[in-house]
Order: sequence, then C-alpha cells, then structure tokens
Amino acid sequence: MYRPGIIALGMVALVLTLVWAGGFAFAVYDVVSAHPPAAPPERPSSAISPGSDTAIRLVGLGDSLTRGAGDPEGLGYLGRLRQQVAEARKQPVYVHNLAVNGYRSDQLLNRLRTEPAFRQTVARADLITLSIGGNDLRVAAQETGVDLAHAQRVFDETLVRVVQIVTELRAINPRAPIVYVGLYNPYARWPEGEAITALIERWNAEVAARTAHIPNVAVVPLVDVFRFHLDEYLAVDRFHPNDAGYAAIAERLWQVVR
Amino acid sequence: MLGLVYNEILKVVRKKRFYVVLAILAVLIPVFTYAQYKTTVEQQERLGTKDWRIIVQQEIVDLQNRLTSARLSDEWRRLLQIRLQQRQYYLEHDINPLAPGAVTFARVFLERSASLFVPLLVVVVAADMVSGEHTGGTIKLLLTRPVRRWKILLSKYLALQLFVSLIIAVTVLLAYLISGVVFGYGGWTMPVLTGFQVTGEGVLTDRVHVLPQGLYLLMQAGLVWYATAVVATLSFLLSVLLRSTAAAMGTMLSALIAGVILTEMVSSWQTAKYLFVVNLQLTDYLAGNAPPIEGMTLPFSLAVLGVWGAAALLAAFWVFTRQDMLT
Repeated sequence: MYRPGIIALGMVALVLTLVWAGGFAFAVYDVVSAHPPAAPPERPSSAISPGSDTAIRLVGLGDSLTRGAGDPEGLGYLGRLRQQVAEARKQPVYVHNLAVNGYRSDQLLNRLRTEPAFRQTVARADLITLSIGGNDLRVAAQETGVDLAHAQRVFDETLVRVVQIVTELRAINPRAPIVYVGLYNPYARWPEGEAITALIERWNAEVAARTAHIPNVAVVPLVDVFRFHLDEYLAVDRFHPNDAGYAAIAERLWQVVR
Repeated sequence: MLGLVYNEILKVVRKKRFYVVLAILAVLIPVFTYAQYKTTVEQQERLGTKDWRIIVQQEIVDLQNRLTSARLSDEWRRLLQIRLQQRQYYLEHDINPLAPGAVTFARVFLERSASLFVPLLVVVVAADMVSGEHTGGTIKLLLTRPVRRWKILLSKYLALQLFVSLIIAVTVLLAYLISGVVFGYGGWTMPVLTGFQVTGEGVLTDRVHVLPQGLYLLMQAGLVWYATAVVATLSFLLSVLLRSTAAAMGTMLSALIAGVILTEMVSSWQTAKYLFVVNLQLTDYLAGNAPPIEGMTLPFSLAVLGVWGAAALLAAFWVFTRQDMLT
C-alpha cells in the first residue's frame, strides 16, 4: 500500500537531516574551537592582475574635490573628464576614484606609503589627478583663527607633504602625467575673502614652484575658474562645487591633458 | 511508528503546501539572480573594470567616505569599521570575496534568507501540521484509531522536521542551479575567510582561517537548519494551540518580522537577547558579522534557541495529549 515515491522522499529527507546535522556540528566546532593562526595564502607572483586590455586608467587621489562631493550627479570632475577622454580617444576609460572626503595630506601620504593595493592602482595609472592640502589649511584656519604663526607653520608643513606625495607618486609611476588640482576660493564673498584669495594664490604658486623639478607634473590653479562664477559653480553648501562647477573643472583639466 | 510518519509525509505532499514552497523559491531565486547580475554589471561599468581588487578597494574607499560622515550612529560606525577591516584583510591576503559563481550566490542567498525567508517557508508547512486536522475535521478520525495521542503528535513532528531538511536542501539546490545559468557552476573550492571575532573594539583576526566555499556552505546550511528547526517547533506549538492554520501562520509571521525589526533596534536593550527571534541569524557568527547585541556568542544563541524549542515541544505534547477534541 505504501507509495515508493513518498518513502523515497522520506529517506532523502532523513539523509539530508544527517547532512545538515553534520554541517551544523562542523560549524559549531569551527566557531567555538581555537584555531591556530592561519598561514596567509600564497600571493600570486604578479600582484597586478593581467593588464591585457588597452584601456586608459584615470586615478584620482585626495579629498572631497576629487571625490566629487556636492555633485548631484555623483560624477565629480573625474567622471566628466572620463567622458571627454573616452570621446576623444575612442578607447575604454577606467576611473579609479580613491579620494576620501575630508582627507588631509598626512593621511594620503601615509596610505600611499603603506598600502600595497593603493600603490598598485597608482602604478597602473595613465593619468593621476590629485587634490590635497585644502583640508589641512582649512582646519588650521578654523582652529587658530588669528594665530598667524601657527597658520604659517601648517602652510609650510602641508606644502612639504604635498611635495612628498607628488614625489612618491612619481616614484611609483614614472610614466603617467600627474595633475595637481589647485585650490579655489569658495569664501571670496566673505569679509576676509581677499586675504584668503591671496593665500590660496600663494599656495597654488608654491606647489607649482616646489614640484617644478619633478617631470611630467602640472599644477592647475582653480582660483581663476571660480573667480567670476561663484554663485553658478558652488553647491548648496557654498563650499563644494556643484555639477556646473565640476564640469568647469573637468573642462579646464581637459585643456591641460588632451 | 514509521507507518505513522509515512502517513504524515503523504498528507503534507497531498496538501500541496510543499509545492507552494517550491513555487515561491522557483519564482524568487531568478529575481534575485537577475538583481545580483545587474549589480555586478553596473559595478563593473561604473569602475570600468572586472578586477575585483579594484572593486574591493573602491568599496574600502566608499566605506571610508561613509565613515567620515558626522551623522553616523555609533552602531553603524562600528559595523562599517568591521566591514572595512574585513575588506582590507581580503585585499591583503589576495582573496576575492565577491568571486561570481553559483556557489557564492547560494552562500550569500542562504545567509540573507537565514533569519526570515527560510523560516517563513517552513512556517507555511509547519503551521498546518495539526491545525489542518481541525480545519478539515479529520482530527476525530485520526484520534479514534487505536494509537496513543503522543505517538500521533510525534509522527507529525518528525515528518515536519524531515520537511525542514528538505526545504533547506531545495533552497540551496535551486539557488545553485538557477544562478549557475548566469554565473557559472564553479566556486566549490574558492577560499572563504572565517573566524573573524567581533569584539567591542573591532575585529580580531588572529583566528581567521580559510575554508573551501563548499564546506562553508555546508556549515552555513547546518546553522540555518538548527535555527529553522526551532522555528518549525514553535510553529508546531502554535498549530496545536490555535487550531487554525491562518492564525498560527499569522502569529509566527509577525513574530519573525518583528524579530527582523528588533535586531535593527535592540543593541541597547540587553535582555532582548533572550528572545528567539534575535538569535536566528546564526550565520553571522560564521561570517564574523557583529551580533545584534554585544556579547552574544554562538553557544549563547544555540542555548537560547534550544531552550525555546524544547519548551515549545514539551508544551505541544502536554496540550495535545490533554486537549478536548470534541469542540
């Protein structure tokens, strides 16, 4: 009277129950028991995956400006630059945006020196864009207010680190052009606006002067780009660029690298 | 006894509830497969690469960016930091956590369905086990046979547990077979890292070790099996108590869904860790995710679930052997 199908089903279910119980016992044992530290698995001899493709790689490093903060479309200047390069070169263009909002020069330098994967990406880049230093200066200005001596010290220290970063990048990747995206002045309308503009102009010029000996480096100051278009180019936070601002930066960079 | 269990299996098959479970899985898994496929493709397009190192690196940068937000709650911050550290570990040891493949899909799918989806499927079968006899009026026929009541209930319970095993197997199997069409059927031996220990400070990695993904999947299924068996037992009790399939199913459903909401919210309510719903995601201990309440461990969760299950089983037998069936 018994139907063989049902009996088979029951048998299968019984076997499965044992299987799951085994897996369960294994899992509990694995989680609860102490394991000797695992030997790290062997790395493949080439840490870089095969770069057989003929694509152009753009690598962006630095702070929120490169990240694209404030852009409602989330592209930033790097995403827009990619479109322009792809259009002109008729080649696939890869973007590696490694920028972090709020990054300071010491954080970037440290990462560049210690993180192998970070260095690999830089090593494979065909164009490196970099925006850093703005947060160092801004934080110093907010902290100290009137302490000009301290502000000058931060200015000098940051400058040294930026030059170190560019030098490091050049050492990792001797080939790709490096574009330092300079600072612009979102505070031009403030009472202190003129003083800040003077400081930023000095900063951009100093970076250009101190990196002049490193081959294949361009410093693109953005003060001029934003000078007459502040309302047009700034996002609602009145600090980061908006989509039009990023488009203007990308346009400016395209003039440099095309 | 075997004959009784056979009868109960036959009843479940006849009632087509198991087919409903199969149909749900057959519809939903292709949907998830497609979603996963779209995500992968979109990620590759946005980054312009198929190199997982760059994708993982981008994830790390994205996590760092999220961590810089000042409006992050402390729990989220801790969670993101844990994820960040794991990603860094994968990168440093050159292990691809996202390698596509049907086994990876099955592993991730089972992990995501461990605390809600698989239990729900089981509830579909379990809630009807006893109350179905009341609704259909067959309970009197069943109990007039010269068999002790506890034997009848036990046969029902054993049949239910067999179906729990079947449902988990079918979930894994369908996830593997369907997603394999898109992602390929490989990935059994891919190394998976396990043994991350989440502490108040962060993640300890000194006990991290590598398992082949096939074994990891089996272990995961074992943990899901244990949690689901407890859910099945609780549904079984409700089925005895409420005598209505719809009521039993509804109650269990709301408990499970409440559990999902609770696990998001309870981190500061310490005693909530004694609720069974908060302990269902046993796979977290394997994957090294932060438990919903600090200080919860695998033995603790197993004990809590075990006590709930045992109590429910005792209650079910106690009530069923004393119940007045004439009403």
